[in-house]
Amino acid sequence: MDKWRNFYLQKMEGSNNPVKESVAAWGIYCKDIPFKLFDKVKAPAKRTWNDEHGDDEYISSDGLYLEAYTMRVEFGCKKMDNPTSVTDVRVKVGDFLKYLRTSGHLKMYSSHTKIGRQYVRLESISDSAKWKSDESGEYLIFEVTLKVNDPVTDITYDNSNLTVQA
Amino acid sequence: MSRWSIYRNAGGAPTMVAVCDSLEYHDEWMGDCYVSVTVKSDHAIDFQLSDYIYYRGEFFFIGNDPNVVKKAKTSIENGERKGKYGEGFVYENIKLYSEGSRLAAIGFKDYVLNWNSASNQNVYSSLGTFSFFAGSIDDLADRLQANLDRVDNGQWKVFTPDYIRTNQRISDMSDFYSYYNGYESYGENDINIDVDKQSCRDILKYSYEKFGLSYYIKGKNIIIGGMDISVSHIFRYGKNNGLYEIERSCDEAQELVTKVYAYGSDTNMPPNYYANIGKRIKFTIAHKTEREIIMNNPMLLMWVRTPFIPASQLYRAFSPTFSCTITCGGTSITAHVSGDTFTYADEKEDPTFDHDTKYMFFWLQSNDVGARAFYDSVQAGSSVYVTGVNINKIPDTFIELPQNNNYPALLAINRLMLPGFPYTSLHDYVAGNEDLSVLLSKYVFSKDPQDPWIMSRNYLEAGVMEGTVVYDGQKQKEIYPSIENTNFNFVAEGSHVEDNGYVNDGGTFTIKLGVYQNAGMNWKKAFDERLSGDTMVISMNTGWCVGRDFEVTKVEENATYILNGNTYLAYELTLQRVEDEEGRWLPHNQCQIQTGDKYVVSGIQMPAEYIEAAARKMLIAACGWLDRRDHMRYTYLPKIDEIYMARQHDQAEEGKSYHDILRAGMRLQIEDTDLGIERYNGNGNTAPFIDILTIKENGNNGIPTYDVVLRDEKEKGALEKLAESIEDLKKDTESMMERQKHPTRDRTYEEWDPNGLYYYQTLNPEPDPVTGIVYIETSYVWHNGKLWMCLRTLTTEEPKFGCHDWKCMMVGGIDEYEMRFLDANEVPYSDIIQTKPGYVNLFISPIVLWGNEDITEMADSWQWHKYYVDEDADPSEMNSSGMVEDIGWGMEHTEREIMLTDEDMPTAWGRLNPVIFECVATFEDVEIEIARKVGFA
Repeated sequence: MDKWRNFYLQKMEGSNNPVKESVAAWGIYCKDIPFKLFDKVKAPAKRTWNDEHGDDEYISSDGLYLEAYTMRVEFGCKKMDNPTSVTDVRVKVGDFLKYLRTSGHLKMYSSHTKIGRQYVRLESISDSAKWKSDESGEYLIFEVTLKVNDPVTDITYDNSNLTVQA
Repeated sequence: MSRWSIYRNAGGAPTMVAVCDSLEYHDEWMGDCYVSVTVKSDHAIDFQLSDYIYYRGEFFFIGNDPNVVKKAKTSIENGERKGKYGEGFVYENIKLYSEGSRLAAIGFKDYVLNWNSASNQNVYSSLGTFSFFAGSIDDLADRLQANLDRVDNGQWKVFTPDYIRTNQRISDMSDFYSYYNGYESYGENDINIDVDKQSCRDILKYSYEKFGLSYYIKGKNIIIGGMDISVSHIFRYGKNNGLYEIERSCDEAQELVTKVYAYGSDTNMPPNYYANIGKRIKFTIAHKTEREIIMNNPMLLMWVRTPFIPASQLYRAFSPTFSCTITCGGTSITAHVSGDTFTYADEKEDPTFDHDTKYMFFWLQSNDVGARAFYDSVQAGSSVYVTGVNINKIPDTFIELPQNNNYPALLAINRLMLPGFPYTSLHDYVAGNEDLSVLLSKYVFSKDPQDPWIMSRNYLEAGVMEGTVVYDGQKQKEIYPSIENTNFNFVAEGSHVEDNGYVNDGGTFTIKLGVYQNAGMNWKKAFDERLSGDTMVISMNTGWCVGRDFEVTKVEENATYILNGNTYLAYELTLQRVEDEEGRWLPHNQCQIQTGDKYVVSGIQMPAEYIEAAARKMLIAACGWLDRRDHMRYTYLPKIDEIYMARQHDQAEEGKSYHDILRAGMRLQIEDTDLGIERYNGNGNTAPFIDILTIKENGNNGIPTYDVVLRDEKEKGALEKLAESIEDLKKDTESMMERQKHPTRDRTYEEWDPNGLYYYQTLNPEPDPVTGIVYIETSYVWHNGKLWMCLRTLTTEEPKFGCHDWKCMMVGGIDEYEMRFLDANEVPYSDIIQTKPGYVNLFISPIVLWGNEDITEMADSWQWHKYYVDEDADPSEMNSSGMVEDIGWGMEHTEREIMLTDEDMPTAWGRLNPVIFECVATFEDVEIEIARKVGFA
């Protein structure tokens, strides 16, 4: 668990929204996050000439454009050693997911991959949550799919702020 | 991927109303032009009709309240309506129309330019149902401009190729040269237009339907007959060639005809007319005196005159009674006919002279051109052919029959037939006429004299497909023997009616007509010999009384007159006035028939020469009619490769990408050898037009796609097709003449030539080199950077300021007069000169410029005025600036140049008490004053 890195989120709509670190805010650890800068490029305009090989594609001087992409992130929430521990996990995970659901577009940054993106939103939650134990205790591991609508702009964590990298 | 915003002008800066991700542009040639967008919003949008999109340099306005589909609700949060779902409100296919679409909402009423000006002398009614005459496309454009100004004063500009006429409608001509290659005049078309509660857009379409000039609208500029613009690229199939597919389809509604039978009208056709075709009246010269040629044909006068003149009166009736044309050895001359049994001294000595016989005398007046030469060429015994005489009243003895004079005895046709009928086959007729023989290579003509037809050589491919065209005024414009398009179908002297038309009975009036001496037309004979029951009618084709028919009640033959070296026979016609719809008799003192107005005559029997001329005209028209039907017409659907278009867009200079400049009406050059499309001939003007252009922005993964429909000519609706068929004759003839764009003579303006011949509303005897028609003409020339209109026929005066023989047409702003002050060193001074009080020593030398021409020396008088501040003066003596004039000083300063010194200044002048000197130059000859002030403070 100590190898897990910080995961930062910030609501984009409105101003002065606080940057939230997932462990401090909800007790949610980011267990696994893909190193994914972007996914597919958008298909350029093309024409298939019946009397020629291959395709004729138009790529503008700006180059190729990227499609939005999704990434599946595994989070974990530690179960405490007390009678209400499962309930605690339920509340923490619930608060975390509510934040994702109600915040609309988010900025996010992973200190593990050093990748940050904006216009990120909740896409889905996996139904395969499971309990997992290690030397530090027992954790509920659940998977969240986030959609990245801006696959280009880099977001960095700097001095407690999520900022667009120049 | 692009986005477009809909804006609203609500005072101040435009505010954004909505954003859309897709846009479709639709442009139809001479039709609707709009963009269509879909807006998805989380909340309801209150669109207004003035909301707009700016696309490709033009504004498009919402035409209707758009349809909306609600898919989610909104709520109020912190006093603000917020949507729950980003696409909760979908406004699909919102249409935003171009400025030109607004023309449909502007009624076309009976207004004329400057209708609200006191100087306007044009009659108008302001009604929505009326008729008007358009002598040219500019007359139509003037009325359009008047109606657009009526609603939206000064916003719209109607351009036509005629710079001068356009400049009479609009003052700002800065855009003219971007629409036209240069100055052009489209001459006369003579079209009467009936308006019945139509819009300006309806009438604008007439520019194409009736005048053959296409138009397009750019912003609020209406460009009629603009220069053809072709997309420079030649589109071909293939990668980087512009097309990825070409579809060619034929017009299934088209009537395919390869063999045509053509018939004309029965108007002005003498009964049994073909019986006399080819026949000639032939006399033998019996005797000639110093002034007379005497024919060997006793009692001739009795045969040719109606009403009958008893032989007993002939002894007392010695005066020319009518004119005709006599020809001998290829020379023709107008003769005046009379008859008597005069005996001259020399005749008494002539043993061959029969004093007991009445003779016909052909008088040759000494001032007739060629009279003497003709006289010298004939001798006793010479054969003379006479035309202009009613051949039905001439005994067979004097009729020379055509060589092949046989036709079925029961043949009974009362309408105009193709030339040669029934004696000469059409093939032989065409082959025998050098000017028509060029047709032989393109058509096959009937070799049966009594069965004339024309066949296109395309019959070899398409087979024989028969068709019939009748030029009787029903589906096709009427063709009949007429003086139309001759060199004398204009009024020599107009009407002089003095009353205003509001009278109980209009009564009659007179006009004078002139007939070119060798034209073989005699209005008095035509009137006297009209068929029983027929009424001779003068129908005005131009002028104030256009479209009106006047019954002729009397015709008198007047003396001949000479105009521009041509001799005309003059006739005075008495006509019955007609009452218009408002109970006003025409003509009246505000609406006269004028000299130069054109007319046609009906209700008479036209001479054989005119029948043949009409038959030839019908032959040409029928060939043109066949040209338009002897092959399949195609519609082309080329699929434009948007990838090519995107690449050219990247490489094009700003504003020159086809994405930005393509519009309906442009010619698109396509070429495909497999489909036989050879649209481009190197000159670029045979490419088909873009009939419909559709651009779908973001149509293919972020780049626009293009759909075009091309046509050889504009497709019309059913009613328009009917109207087109009426106008078919014009187009058919033009098709033959390969003059699609210029229905009449074009006029270009050349530099003034001191030896040139110039005309003002006068017949220019020089026929047009293309049409052969002789025109009434007003000349225009360039000189010293100005365009001048001739005001006096055959003037030799140089066009210049103050010249009364020329009128400067004030083009390009050069009509501005300007006075400049120059000192001895020719340093121009500004209006206000500040100098130190107490020191004035200034020499002022004014000059007056008219455009770029110095007209200083032409000023008739100079007057200086001095104005100064005098607080004690009577307020009634002060001008609007609170200054008074030193009249005494002014009386002493009437020279052009003055020297201002301290002595010219009032006491205590200065910043608070300024002094102004004004110089006024008067050009009485042209009734203008030009002034300029210089001030001291």
